[in-house]
Amino acid sequence: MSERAKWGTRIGLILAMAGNATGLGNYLRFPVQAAQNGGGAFMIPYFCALIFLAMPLMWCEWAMGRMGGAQGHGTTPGIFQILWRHPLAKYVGIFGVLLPVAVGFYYIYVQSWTLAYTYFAVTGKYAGITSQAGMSSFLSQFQGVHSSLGVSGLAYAFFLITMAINSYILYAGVQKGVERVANWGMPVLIVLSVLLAFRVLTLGAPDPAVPEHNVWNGMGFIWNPDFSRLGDAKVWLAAAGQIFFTLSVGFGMIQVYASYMKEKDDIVVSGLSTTMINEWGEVVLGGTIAIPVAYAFFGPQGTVAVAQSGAFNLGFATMPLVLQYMPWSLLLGTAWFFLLFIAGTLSQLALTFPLITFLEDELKWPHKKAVAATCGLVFLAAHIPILGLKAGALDEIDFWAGTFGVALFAFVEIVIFIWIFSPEKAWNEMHKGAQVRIPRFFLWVLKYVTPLYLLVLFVVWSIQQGPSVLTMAGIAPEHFLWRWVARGLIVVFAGGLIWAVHKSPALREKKAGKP
Amino acid sequence: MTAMGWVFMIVSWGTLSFLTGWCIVQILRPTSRQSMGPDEVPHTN
Repeated sequence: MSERAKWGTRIGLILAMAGNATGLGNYLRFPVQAAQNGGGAFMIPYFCALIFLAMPLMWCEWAMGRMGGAQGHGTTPGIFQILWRHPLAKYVGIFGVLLPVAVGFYYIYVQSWTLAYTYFAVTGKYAGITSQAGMSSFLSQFQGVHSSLGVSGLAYAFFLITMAINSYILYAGVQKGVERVANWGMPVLIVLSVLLAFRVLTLGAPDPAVPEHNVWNGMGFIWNPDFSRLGDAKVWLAAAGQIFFTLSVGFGMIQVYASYMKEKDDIVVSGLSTTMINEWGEVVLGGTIAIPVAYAFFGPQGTVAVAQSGAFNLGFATMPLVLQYMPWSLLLGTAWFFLLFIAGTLSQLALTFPLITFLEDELKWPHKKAVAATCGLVFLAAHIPILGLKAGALDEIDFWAGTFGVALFAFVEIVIFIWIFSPEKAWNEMHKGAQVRIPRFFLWVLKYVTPLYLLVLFVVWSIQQGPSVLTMAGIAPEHFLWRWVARGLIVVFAGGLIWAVHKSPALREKKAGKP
Repeated sequence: MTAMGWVFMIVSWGTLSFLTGWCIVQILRPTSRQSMGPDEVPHTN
Protein backbone atom coordinates (compact mmCIF):
# COMPACT_ATOMS: atom_id res chain seq x y z
CA MET A 1 0.00 0.00 0.00
CA SER A 2 1.45 3.40 -0.92
CA GLU A 3 2.00 5.91 1.90
CA ARG A 4 -1.00 8.26 2.25
CA ALA A 5 -0.49 11.97 2.77
CA LYS A 6 -0.68 13.26 6.37
CA TRP A 7 -1.54 16.58 8.00
CA GLY A 8 1.55 18.58 8.89
CA THR A 9 0.36 19.86 12.29
CA ARG A 10 -2.56 19.33 14.64
CA ILE A 11 -3.52 23.00 14.50
CA GLY A 12 -3.50 22.81 10.68
CA LEU A 13 -5.92 19.88 10.80
CA ILE A 14 -8.22 21.64 13.28
CA LEU A 15 -8.24 24.85 11.21
CA ALA A 16 -8.94 22.88 8.00
CA MET A 17 -11.79 21.01 9.71
CA ALA A 18 -13.15 24.27 11.16
CA GLY A 19 -12.78 25.86 7.71
CA ASN A 20 -14.70 22.94 6.25
CA ALA A 21 -17.55 23.68 8.65
CA THR A 22 -17.39 27.49 8.58
CA GLY A 23 -19.21 28.71 5.51
CA LEU A 24 -22.06 30.84 4.30
CA GLY A 25 -24.30 29.04 6.82
CA ASN A 26 -22.58 30.79 9.72
CA TYR A 27 -22.95 34.34 8.46
CA LEU A 28 -26.15 34.19 6.42
CA ARG A 29 -28.26 31.16 7.23
CA PHE A 30 -27.98 31.11 11.04
CA PRO A 31 -29.22 34.67 11.78
CA VAL A 32 -32.14 34.21 9.36
CA GLN A 33 -33.10 30.86 10.93
CA ALA A 34 -32.87 32.24 14.47
CA ALA A 35 -34.91 35.32 13.65
CA GLN A 36 -37.61 33.26 11.88
CA ASN A 37 -37.89 30.50 14.47
CA GLY A 38 -38.45 32.02 17.88
CA GLY A 39 -35.37 34.19 18.45
CA GLY A 40 -33.60 33.27 21.70
CA ALA A 41 -35.96 30.30 22.17
CA PHE A 42 -34.52 28.84 18.94
CA MET A 43 -31.30 28.28 20.88
CA ILE A 44 -33.00 25.56 22.99
CA PRO A 45 -33.62 23.14 20.07
CA TYR A 46 -30.37 24.40 18.52
CA PHE A 47 -28.28 23.39 21.55
CA CYS A 48 -30.22 20.08 21.85
CA ALA A 49 -29.31 19.28 18.24
CA LEU A 50 -25.71 20.29 18.94
CA ILE A 51 -25.39 18.01 21.99
CA PHE A 52 -27.46 15.01 20.85
CA LEU A 53 -26.78 15.04 17.11
CA ALA A 54 -23.77 17.05 16.04
CA MET A 55 -21.21 16.28 18.74
CA PRO A 56 -21.78 12.48 18.76
CA LEU A 57 -21.83 12.40 14.95
CA MET A 58 -18.71 14.52 14.78
CA TRP A 59 -16.76 12.12 17.04
CA CYS A 60 -18.09 9.11 15.09
CA GLU A 61 -17.06 10.61 11.75
CA TRP A 62 -13.59 11.54 13.00
CA ALA A 63 -13.13 8.03 14.42
CA MET A 64 -14.38 6.34 11.23
CA GLY A 65 -12.09 8.49 9.10
CA ARG A 66 -8.96 7.90 11.18
CA MET A 67 -9.70 4.17 11.31
CA GLY A 68 -10.25 3.98 7.55
CA GLY A 69 -7.17 6.06 6.78
CA ALA A 70 -4.98 3.68 8.79
CA GLN A 71 -6.13 0.91 6.43
CA GLY A 72 -5.79 2.97 3.26
CA HIS A 73 -9.44 4.03 2.87
CA GLY A 74 -10.39 7.67 3.31
CA THR A 75 -13.94 7.58 1.98
CA THR A 76 -17.03 5.76 3.18
CA PRO A 77 -17.16 2.97 0.53
CA GLY A 78 -13.90 1.59 1.96
CA ILE A 79 -14.64 2.58 5.56
CA PHE A 80 -18.08 0.92 5.59
CA GLN A 81 -16.54 -2.24 4.19
CA ILE A 82 -14.14 -2.34 7.16
CA LEU A 83 -16.97 -1.75 9.64
CA TRP A 84 -19.58 -4.01 8.06
CA ARG A 85 -18.55 -7.26 6.39
CA HIS A 86 -21.37 -7.30 3.89
CA PRO A 87 -21.28 -7.10 0.08
CA LEU A 88 -23.63 -4.10 0.19
CA ALA A 89 -21.46 -2.04 2.57
CA LYS A 90 -19.20 -0.50 -0.07
CA TYR A 91 -22.20 0.43 -2.25
CA VAL A 92 -24.01 2.12 0.66
CA GLY A 93 -20.79 4.04 1.22
CA ILE A 94 -21.00 5.83 -2.13
CA PHE A 95 -23.28 8.41 -0.49
CA GLY A 96 -20.26 9.75 1.40
CA VAL A 97 -18.75 10.73 -1.96
CA LEU A 98 -21.97 11.50 -3.85
CA LEU A 99 -23.49 13.97 -1.37
CA PRO A 100 -20.57 16.36 -0.80
CA VAL A 101 -19.46 16.41 -4.44
CA ALA A 102 -23.05 16.95 -5.67
CA VAL A 103 -23.35 19.94 -3.31
CA GLY A 104 -19.95 21.08 -4.64
CA PHE A 105 -21.45 21.16 -8.16
CA TYR A 106 -23.48 24.25 -7.22
CA TYR A 107 -21.55 25.58 -4.20
CA ILE A 108 -18.66 26.59 -6.45
CA TYR A 109 -20.99 28.95 -8.31
CA VAL A 110 -22.07 30.64 -5.07
CA GLN A 111 -18.39 30.80 -4.06
CA SER A 112 -17.64 32.60 -7.34
CA TRP A 113 -20.33 35.24 -6.55
CA THR A 114 -18.49 36.10 -3.32
CA LEU A 115 -15.28 36.61 -5.32
CA ALA A 116 -17.14 38.75 -7.86
CA TYR A 117 -18.70 40.89 -5.13
CA THR A 118 -15.30 41.36 -3.49
CA TYR A 119 -14.22 42.83 -6.83
CA PHE A 120 -17.40 44.92 -7.06
CA ALA A 121 -16.84 46.25 -3.53
CA VAL A 122 -13.22 47.24 -4.27
CA THR A 123 -14.13 48.94 -7.56
CA GLY A 124 -17.33 50.55 -6.26
CA LYS A 125 -19.38 48.87 -8.96
CA TYR A 126 -22.61 48.78 -6.94
CA ALA A 127 -22.00 52.19 -5.33
CA GLY A 128 -24.95 54.52 -5.78
CA ILE A 129 -27.64 51.82 -5.65
CA THR A 130 -29.83 52.91 -2.78
CA SER A 131 -32.69 50.41 -2.62
CA GLN A 132 -33.00 46.70 -1.95
CA ALA A 133 -34.91 46.28 -5.22
CA GLY A 134 -32.03 47.97 -7.04
CA MET A 135 -29.49 45.71 -5.35
CA SER A 136 -31.55 42.57 -6.15
CA SER A 137 -31.75 43.71 -9.76
CA PHE A 138 -27.95 44.25 -9.77
CA LEU A 139 -27.55 40.65 -8.51
CA SER A 140 -29.82 39.14 -11.19
CA GLN A 141 -28.18 41.26 -13.87
CA PHE A 142 -24.75 40.05 -12.75
CA GLN A 143 -25.98 36.44 -12.71
CA GLY A 144 -27.59 36.94 -16.11
CA VAL A 145 -30.66 34.90 -15.17
CA HIS A 146 -32.83 36.82 -17.61
CA SER A 147 -30.41 36.45 -20.53
CA SER A 148 -31.01 33.87 -23.26
CA LEU A 149 -28.22 31.61 -21.94
CA GLY A 150 -29.16 32.04 -18.30
CA VAL A 151 -25.71 33.27 -17.32
CA SER A 152 -23.80 36.52 -17.90
CA GLY A 153 -20.27 36.64 -19.31
CA LEU A 154 -19.03 38.28 -16.11
CA ALA A 155 -20.57 35.64 -13.82
CA TYR A 156 -19.11 32.91 -16.03
CA ALA A 157 -15.68 34.58 -15.97
CA PHE A 158 -15.70 34.64 -12.15
CA PHE A 159 -16.79 30.99 -12.14
CA LEU A 160 -13.74 30.15 -14.30
CA ILE A 161 -11.39 32.13 -12.03
CA THR A 162 -12.81 30.40 -8.94
CA MET A 163 -12.48 27.02 -10.63
CA ALA A 164 -8.82 27.77 -11.39
CA ILE A 165 -8.09 28.86 -7.79
CA ASN A 166 -9.73 25.75 -6.32
CA SER A 167 -7.98 23.42 -8.80
CA TYR A 168 -4.60 24.94 -7.93
CA ILE A 169 -5.15 24.43 -4.18
CA LEU A 170 -6.46 20.88 -4.63
CA TYR A 171 -3.57 20.04 -6.93
CA ALA A 172 -1.12 21.08 -4.16
CA GLY A 173 -2.63 18.38 -1.93
CA VAL A 174 -3.51 18.03 1.75
CA GLN A 175 -0.51 19.60 3.43
CA LYS A 176 0.69 22.15 0.87
CA GLY A 177 -2.78 23.03 -0.41
CA VAL A 178 -5.71 22.69 1.98
CA GLU A 179 -3.71 22.97 5.21
CA ARG A 180 -1.76 26.01 4.02
CA VAL A 181 -4.94 27.82 2.91
CA ALA A 182 -6.68 26.97 6.20
CA ASN A 183 -3.68 28.15 8.22
CA TRP A 184 -3.96 31.71 6.90
CA GLY A 185 -7.60 31.67 5.81
CA MET A 186 -9.19 30.85 9.18
CA PRO A 187 -7.33 33.52 11.20
CA VAL A 188 -8.12 36.12 8.49
CA LEU A 189 -11.75 34.99 8.54
CA ILE A 190 -11.98 35.36 12.33
CA VAL A 191 -10.24 38.76 12.34
CA LEU A 192 -12.53 40.11 9.59
CA SER A 193 -15.61 38.77 11.41
CA VAL A 194 -14.54 40.37 14.69
CA LEU A 195 -13.85 43.66 12.87
CA LEU A 196 -17.28 43.67 11.24
CA ALA A 197 -19.08 42.58 14.43
CA PHE A 198 -17.32 45.33 16.42
CA ARG A 199 -18.29 47.92 13.80
CA VAL A 200 -21.92 46.78 13.90
CA LEU A 201 -22.10 46.81 17.71
CA THR A 202 -20.76 50.37 17.84
CA LEU A 203 -23.16 51.61 15.16
CA GLY A 204 -25.93 52.74 17.57
CA ALA A 205 -28.94 54.24 15.76
CA PRO A 206 -27.90 55.34 12.24
CA ASP A 207 -30.94 57.62 11.86
CA PRO A 208 -31.25 59.93 14.91
CA ALA A 209 -34.86 60.64 13.91
CA VAL A 210 -35.76 56.98 14.59
CA PRO A 211 -33.73 56.07 17.71
CA GLU A 212 -35.58 52.77 18.24
CA HIS A 213 -34.05 51.47 15.01
CA ASN A 214 -30.75 50.67 16.66
CA VAL A 215 -28.33 47.75 16.73
CA TRP A 216 -29.30 46.54 20.21
CA ASN A 217 -32.95 46.28 19.25
CA GLY A 218 -31.61 44.41 16.20
CA MET A 219 -29.83 42.01 18.55
CA GLY A 220 -33.17 41.64 20.33
CA PHE A 221 -34.69 40.61 17.00
CA ILE A 222 -32.44 37.54 17.14
CA TRP A 223 -32.32 36.94 20.90
CA ASN A 224 -35.72 37.90 22.41
CA PRO A 225 -37.26 34.47 23.06
CA ASP A 226 -40.69 33.47 21.79
CA PHE A 227 -41.40 30.35 23.86
CA SER A 228 -44.70 29.68 22.08
CA ARG A 229 -42.66 28.51 19.05
CA LEU A 230 -41.09 25.60 20.98
CA GLY A 231 -44.25 23.51 20.49
CA ASP A 232 -43.86 23.75 16.73
CA ALA A 233 -42.08 20.74 15.13
CA LYS A 234 -40.86 22.97 12.31
CA VAL A 235 -38.70 24.95 14.74
CA TRP A 236 -36.99 21.75 15.97
CA LEU A 237 -36.46 20.62 12.39
CA ALA A 238 -35.05 24.00 11.43
CA ALA A 239 -32.61 23.86 14.36
CA ALA A 240 -31.43 20.35 13.45
CA GLY A 241 -31.17 21.34 9.79
CA GLN A 242 -29.07 24.35 10.68
CA ILE A 243 -26.74 22.22 12.84
CA PHE A 244 -26.25 19.72 9.98
CA PHE A 245 -25.69 22.47 7.44
CA THR A 246 -23.24 24.44 9.52
CA LEU A 247 -21.14 21.57 10.89
CA SER A 248 -21.07 19.54 7.64
CA VAL A 249 -21.94 16.33 9.49
CA GLY A 250 -23.66 13.55 7.57
CA PHE A 251 -21.88 14.33 4.30
CA GLY A 252 -18.87 11.99 4.52
CA MET A 253 -16.46 14.93 4.29
CA ILE A 254 -15.18 14.78 7.87
CA GLN A 255 -14.08 11.15 7.43
CA VAL A 256 -11.96 12.21 4.46
CA TYR A 257 -10.01 14.89 6.32
CA ALA A 258 -9.74 12.63 9.41
CA SER A 259 -8.32 9.81 7.27
CA TYR A 260 -5.13 11.85 6.82
CA MET A 261 -4.47 11.77 10.60
CA LYS A 262 -1.92 9.57 12.27
CA GLU A 263 -3.30 6.44 13.88
CA LYS A 264 -2.99 7.61 17.49
CA ASP A 265 -3.77 11.28 17.01
CA ASP A 266 -6.38 12.58 19.45
CA ILE A 267 -9.85 12.99 18.03
CA VAL A 268 -11.87 13.81 21.15
CA VAL A 269 -10.45 17.28 21.77
CA SER A 270 -9.78 17.93 18.07
CA GLY A 271 -13.36 17.05 17.07
CA LEU A 272 -14.80 19.14 19.90
CA SER A 273 -12.50 22.04 19.01
CA THR A 274 -13.65 22.24 15.39
CA THR A 275 -17.27 22.07 16.57
CA MET A 276 -16.76 24.85 19.09
CA ILE A 277 -14.76 27.12 16.76
CA ASN A 278 -17.54 26.83 14.19
CA GLU A 279 -20.29 27.34 16.78
CA TRP A 280 -18.58 30.33 18.36
CA GLY A 281 -18.14 31.86 14.91
CA GLU A 282 -21.78 31.22 14.07
CA VAL A 283 -23.59 32.21 17.26
CA VAL A 284 -21.32 34.99 18.54
CA LEU A 285 -20.10 36.51 15.27
CA GLY A 286 -22.62 35.33 12.64
CA GLY A 287 -25.55 36.45 14.80
CA THR A 288 -24.02 39.88 15.35
CA ILE A 289 -23.46 41.08 11.81
CA ALA A 290 -26.19 40.77 9.18
CA ILE A 291 -29.56 40.88 10.99
CA PRO A 292 -28.76 43.57 13.62
CA VAL A 293 -27.35 45.88 10.97
CA ALA A 294 -30.37 45.29 8.72
CA TYR A 295 -32.63 46.16 11.68
CA ALA A 296 -30.73 49.36 12.42
CA PHE A 297 -31.23 50.57 8.84
CA PHE A 298 -34.60 49.10 7.83
CA GLY A 299 -36.45 48.66 11.15
CA PRO A 300 -38.49 45.60 12.20
CA GLN A 301 -40.74 45.36 9.10
CA GLY A 302 -37.82 45.74 6.73
CA THR A 303 -35.84 43.09 8.62
CA VAL A 304 -38.76 40.63 8.53
CA ALA A 305 -38.91 41.14 4.76
CA VAL A 306 -35.14 40.60 4.54
CA ALA A 307 -35.28 37.44 6.67
CA GLN A 308 -38.16 36.06 4.61
CA SER A 309 -36.37 36.71 1.34
CA GLY A 310 -33.73 34.14 2.30
CA ALA A 311 -30.09 33.88 3.23
CA PHE A 312 -28.67 34.62 -0.23
CA ASN A 313 -30.63 37.84 -0.55
CA LEU A 314 -29.40 38.87 2.88
CA GLY A 315 -25.80 38.34 1.80
CA PHE A 316 -25.82 39.73 -1.72
CA ALA A 317 -28.64 42.31 -1.76
CA THR A 318 -29.05 43.60 1.79
CA MET A 319 -25.51 43.62 3.16
CA PRO A 320 -23.87 45.59 0.31
CA LEU A 321 -26.67 48.14 0.57
CA VAL A 322 -26.31 48.51 4.32
CA LEU A 323 -22.53 48.66 4.22
CA GLN A 324 -22.76 51.55 1.76
CA TYR A 325 -24.47 53.67 4.39
CA MET A 326 -21.69 53.06 6.89
CA PRO A 327 -18.42 54.96 7.26
CA TRP A 328 -15.47 53.12 5.62
CA SER A 329 -18.02 51.50 3.30
CA LEU A 330 -15.39 50.46 0.76
CA LEU A 331 -13.26 48.71 3.37
CA LEU A 332 -16.21 47.08 5.14
CA GLY A 333 -17.83 45.92 1.89
CA THR A 334 -14.56 44.38 0.73
CA ALA A 335 -14.03 42.76 4.13
CA TRP A 336 -17.56 41.28 4.14
CA PHE A 337 -17.31 39.67 0.70
CA PHE A 338 -13.70 38.56 1.12
CA LEU A 339 -14.76 36.93 4.40
CA LEU A 340 -17.53 35.06 2.58
CA PHE A 341 -15.07 34.10 -0.17
CA ILE A 342 -12.57 32.56 2.28
CA ALA A 343 -15.35 30.71 4.11
CA GLY A 344 -16.76 29.49 0.77
CA THR A 345 -13.35 28.39 -0.52
CA LEU A 346 -12.52 26.30 2.55
CA SER A 347 -15.94 24.64 2.34
CA GLN A 348 -15.73 24.01 -1.41
CA LEU A 349 -12.30 22.37 -1.03
CA ALA A 350 -13.73 20.02 1.59
CA LEU A 351 -16.75 19.28 -0.62
CA THR A 352 -14.65 18.13 -3.57
CA PHE A 353 -11.87 16.37 -1.66
CA PRO A 354 -13.87 13.13 -1.09
CA LEU A 355 -13.84 12.32 -4.82
CA ILE A 356 -10.08 12.93 -5.09
CA THR A 357 -9.45 10.70 -2.08
CA PHE A 358 -11.83 8.05 -3.45
CA LEU A 359 -10.05 7.94 -6.81
CA GLU A 360 -6.63 7.77 -5.14
CA ASP A 361 -7.52 5.16 -2.51
CA GLU A 362 -9.94 2.91 -4.34
CA LEU A 363 -8.95 3.24 -8.01
CA LYS A 364 -5.25 3.81 -7.22
CA TRP A 365 -5.09 6.89 -9.43
CA PRO A 366 -2.13 9.23 -8.91
CA HIS A 367 -2.96 12.54 -7.20
CA LYS A 368 -2.60 14.65 -10.37
CA LYS A 369 -4.94 12.43 -12.35
CA ALA A 370 -7.49 12.30 -9.50
CA VAL A 371 -7.48 16.12 -9.16
CA ALA A 372 -7.78 16.60 -12.93
CA ALA A 373 -10.73 14.18 -13.12
CA THR A 374 -12.49 15.70 -10.09
CA CYS A 375 -12.03 19.29 -11.26
CA GLY A 376 -13.12 18.31 -14.78
CA LEU A 377 -16.28 16.70 -13.43
CA VAL A 378 -17.09 19.63 -11.13
CA PHE A 379 -16.50 22.04 -14.03
CA LEU A 380 -18.85 20.17 -16.37
CA ALA A 381 -21.53 19.37 -13.79
CA ALA A 382 -21.59 22.95 -12.46
CA HIS A 383 -23.07 24.04 -15.81
CA ILE A 384 -26.40 22.50 -14.80
CA PRO A 385 -26.94 24.71 -11.69
CA ILE A 386 -25.39 27.64 -13.56
CA LEU A 387 -27.55 27.46 -16.69
CA GLY A 388 -30.60 26.24 -14.78
CA LEU A 389 -30.32 28.77 -11.95
CA LYS A 390 -33.55 30.57 -12.80
CA ALA A 391 -35.41 27.26 -13.05
CA GLY A 392 -34.19 26.20 -9.60
CA ALA A 393 -31.67 23.49 -10.60
CA LEU A 394 -29.49 24.65 -7.70
CA ASP A 395 -32.35 24.27 -5.19
CA GLU A 396 -33.14 20.83 -6.57
CA ILE A 397 -29.58 19.56 -5.99
CA ASP A 398 -29.51 21.26 -2.61
CA PHE A 399 -32.65 19.48 -1.43
CA TRP A 400 -31.76 15.97 -2.59
CA ALA A 401 -28.05 16.02 -1.75
CA GLY A 402 -27.81 18.69 0.95
CA THR A 403 -30.99 18.03 2.96
CA PHE A 404 -32.69 14.71 2.23
CA GLY A 405 -29.50 12.76 1.49
CA VAL A 406 -27.62 14.08 4.51
CA ALA A 407 -30.35 13.17 7.01
CA LEU A 408 -30.56 9.67 5.52
CA PHE A 409 -26.82 9.14 5.36
CA ALA A 410 -26.24 10.38 8.92
CA PHE A 411 -28.71 7.75 10.14
CA VAL A 412 -27.09 5.00 8.05
CA GLU A 413 -23.56 5.81 9.18
CA ILE A 414 -24.42 5.86 12.87
CA VAL A 415 -26.26 2.53 12.58
CA ILE A 416 -23.24 0.99 10.83
CA PHE A 417 -20.65 2.43 13.22
CA ILE A 418 -22.51 2.03 16.51
CA TRP A 419 -24.86 -0.91 16.02
CA ILE A 420 -23.22 -3.08 13.35
CA PHE A 421 -19.57 -2.43 14.26
CA SER A 422 -20.59 -2.55 17.98
CA PRO A 423 -20.96 0.27 20.50
CA GLU A 424 -17.98 -0.77 22.65
CA LYS A 425 -15.62 -1.13 19.68
CA ALA A 426 -16.74 2.25 18.34
CA TRP A 427 -16.29 3.83 21.80
CA ASN A 428 -12.77 2.37 22.13
CA GLU A 429 -11.91 3.55 18.62
CA MET A 430 -12.89 7.11 19.55
CA HIS A 431 -10.63 6.97 22.61
CA LYS A 432 -7.47 5.74 20.87
CA GLY A 433 -4.86 8.42 21.65
CA ALA A 434 -7.52 10.54 23.33
CA GLN A 435 -6.32 13.49 25.34
CA VAL A 436 -9.43 13.40 27.55
CA ARG A 437 -12.29 10.91 27.81
CA ILE A 438 -15.78 11.63 26.50
CA PRO A 439 -18.32 11.43 29.39
CA ARG A 440 -19.85 7.94 29.31
CA PHE A 441 -23.29 9.51 29.05
CA PHE A 442 -22.49 10.02 25.35
CA LEU A 443 -22.24 6.27 24.75
CA TRP A 444 -25.91 6.03 25.71
CA VAL A 445 -26.65 9.05 23.51
CA LEU A 446 -24.82 7.40 20.59
CA LYS A 447 -26.66 4.10 21.01
CA TYR A 448 -30.19 5.39 21.40
CA VAL A 449 -30.74 9.13 21.28
CA THR A 450 -28.83 10.09 18.13
CA PRO A 451 -30.20 7.30 15.87
CA LEU A 452 -33.74 7.87 17.11
CA TYR A 453 -33.43 11.66 16.76
CA LEU A 454 -32.13 11.18 13.19
CA LEU A 455 -34.85 8.70 12.30
CA VAL A 456 -37.61 11.02 13.50
CA LEU A 457 -35.95 13.91 11.68
CA PHE A 458 -35.68 11.96 8.45
CA VAL A 459 -39.26 10.68 8.58
CA VAL A 460 -40.71 14.09 9.41
CA TRP A 461 -38.61 15.78 6.72
CA SER A 462 -39.70 13.17 4.20
CA ILE A 463 -43.37 13.60 5.09
CA GLN A 464 -43.29 17.40 5.27
CA GLN A 465 -41.10 18.20 2.31
CA GLY A 466 -40.69 14.96 0.34
CA PRO A 467 -44.02 14.76 -1.52
CA SER A 468 -44.11 18.44 -2.51
CA VAL A 469 -40.50 18.39 -3.68
CA LEU A 470 -40.91 15.06 -5.46
CA THR A 471 -43.94 16.23 -7.41
CA MET A 472 -42.49 19.75 -7.88
CA ALA A 473 -45.59 21.29 -6.31
CA GLY A 474 -45.80 25.03 -6.91
CA ILE A 475 -43.06 24.99 -9.55
CA ALA A 476 -43.77 26.61 -12.92
CA PRO A 477 -44.01 23.90 -15.63
CA GLU A 478 -41.37 25.64 -17.78
CA HIS A 479 -38.85 24.97 -14.98
CA PHE A 480 -39.48 21.21 -14.83
CA LEU A 481 -36.89 20.36 -17.48
CA TRP A 482 -33.91 21.90 -15.67
CA ARG A 483 -35.01 20.39 -12.38
CA TRP A 484 -35.24 16.95 -13.96
CA VAL A 485 -31.80 17.48 -15.49
CA ALA A 486 -30.49 18.28 -11.97
CA ARG A 487 -32.05 15.07 -10.63
CA GLY A 488 -30.62 13.17 -13.58
CA LEU A 489 -27.17 14.53 -12.78
CA ILE A 490 -27.32 13.09 -9.25
CA VAL A 491 -28.55 9.72 -10.56
CA VAL A 492 -25.87 9.51 -13.27
CA PHE A 493 -23.15 10.47 -10.78
CA ALA A 494 -24.43 7.82 -8.34
CA GLY A 495 -24.36 5.26 -11.17
CA GLY A 496 -20.78 6.20 -11.99
CA LEU A 497 -19.75 5.78 -8.36
CA ILE A 498 -21.44 2.37 -8.11
CA TRP A 499 -19.58 1.26 -11.23
CA ALA A 500 -16.27 2.61 -9.82
CA VAL A 501 -16.84 0.81 -6.51
CA HIS A 502 -17.64 -2.39 -8.41
CA LYS A 503 -14.42 -2.09 -10.44
CA SER A 504 -12.24 -0.91 -7.55
CA PRO A 505 -9.20 -3.15 -7.10
CA ALA A 506 -8.71 -1.95 -3.52
CA LEU A 507 -12.24 -2.80 -2.48
CA ARG A 508 -12.06 -6.19 -4.25
CA GLU A 509 -8.76 -6.98 -2.53
CA LYS A 510 -10.40 -6.20 0.79
CA LYS A 511 -13.24 -8.59 0.07
CA ALA A 512 -10.96 -11.42 -0.97
CA GLY A 513 -8.54 -10.97 1.89
CA LYS A 514 -11.01 -10.56 4.71
CA PRO A 515 -10.22 -12.40 7.91
CA MET B 1 -33.67 43.89 23.65
CA THR B 2 -35.70 42.41 26.52
CA ALA B 3 -34.18 41.06 29.75
CA MET B 4 -34.85 37.49 28.58
CA GLY B 5 -33.13 38.31 25.28
CA TRP B 6 -30.06 39.42 27.22
CA VAL B 7 -30.19 36.23 29.33
CA PHE B 8 -30.31 33.99 26.26
CA MET B 9 -27.57 35.91 24.52
CA ILE B 10 -25.23 35.99 27.52
CA VAL B 11 -25.77 32.30 28.40
CA SER B 12 -25.24 31.20 24.76
CA TRP B 13 -22.20 33.39 24.20
CA GLY B 14 -20.78 32.48 27.61
CA THR B 15 -21.19 28.73 27.17
CA LEU B 16 -19.67 28.69 23.69
CA SER B 17 -16.83 31.03 24.66
CA PHE B 18 -16.02 28.90 27.71
CA LEU B 19 -15.99 25.65 25.71
CA THR B 20 -14.01 27.19 22.85
CA GLY B 21 -11.50 28.57 25.35
CA TRP B 22 -11.25 25.20 27.08
CA CYS B 23 -10.55 23.51 23.73
CA ILE B 24 -7.87 26.07 22.83
CA VAL B 25 -6.16 25.52 26.21
CA GLN B 26 -6.25 21.74 25.64
CA ILE B 27 -4.75 22.10 22.17
CA LEU B 28 -2.00 24.40 23.38
CA ARG B 29 -1.08 22.22 26.39
CA PRO B 30 2.47 20.94 25.88
CA THR B 31 1.39 17.32 26.46
CA SER B 32 -1.14 17.56 23.66
CA ARG B 33 1.54 18.24 21.05
CA GLN B 34 2.40 14.58 21.09
CA SER B 35 -0.25 11.91 20.76
CA MET B 36 -0.91 9.72 23.76
CA GLY B 37 -1.31 5.98 23.55
CA PRO B 38 -4.47 4.26 24.78
CA ASP B 39 -2.81 3.16 28.03
CA GLU B 40 -2.02 6.74 28.91
CA VAL B 41 -5.60 7.97 28.56
CA PRO B 42 -6.63 9.68 31.78
CA HIS B 43 -9.79 8.18 33.24
CA THR B 44 -12.20 10.72 34.56
CA ASN B 45 -15.10 8.45 35.31
